[in-house]
Amino acid sequence: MLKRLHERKKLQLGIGFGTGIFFGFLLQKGGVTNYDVILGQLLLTDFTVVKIMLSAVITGMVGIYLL
Amino acid sequence: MDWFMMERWSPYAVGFGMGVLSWITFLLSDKPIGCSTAFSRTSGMLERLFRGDRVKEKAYYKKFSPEVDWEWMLVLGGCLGAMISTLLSGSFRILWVPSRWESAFGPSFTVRWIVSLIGGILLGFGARWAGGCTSGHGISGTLQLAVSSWLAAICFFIGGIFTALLLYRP
Repeated sequence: MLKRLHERKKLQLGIGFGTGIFFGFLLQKGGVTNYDVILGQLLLTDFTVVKIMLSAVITGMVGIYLL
Repeated sequence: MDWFMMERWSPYAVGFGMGVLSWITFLLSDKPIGCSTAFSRTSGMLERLFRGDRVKEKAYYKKFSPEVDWEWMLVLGGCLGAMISTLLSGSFRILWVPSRWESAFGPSFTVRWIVSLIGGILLGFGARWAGGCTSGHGISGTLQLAVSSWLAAICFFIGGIFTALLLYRP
């Protein structure tokens, strides 16, 4: 699907950059750019990281199945 | 607009957003969201500054050519996106030593810096051996139900929890 779009190298770099902006924005809003939050997950006192990962995976799975 | 200025969003909303973002990137770019390959490409670019084009002969860099690609731009955009988020919520600040680290190991920046450097090297090694990091394996791989990614993600947590408990348990 959309093969012609995937072959446009320069445009793809721009899309990658744009995706990165959204991804970084979401990571920060989720708090997982914060050392204390990551550490809290590993010490099993703050489950933010797992909540984000699992909801991303469940949402993503649905899309991948349908695509 | 208030929504964008909030300091934190619900983790479920953030996860949902990342999931939707992964649909869009698979559709528009046919690429999984990942980060660690961009770091090996960058190391190739740095090596090329010193050793010239011979770097390209290396088997590893034949596979992961040292050049700016989609994922490299994603990492760059990620830094910018996170910064925009902190600026909008007013939480942007430069922090040399994280608070939890400080309460356990003291305020020395040098100690923190050296440990971070060692940690970064181990992280880079591990991510390349595994062929992915928390984003590539942990999110993009697991949502495609790749067995290797589920194994890798579970092992990231086992290793991380073990090390954190070892370091932070009094």
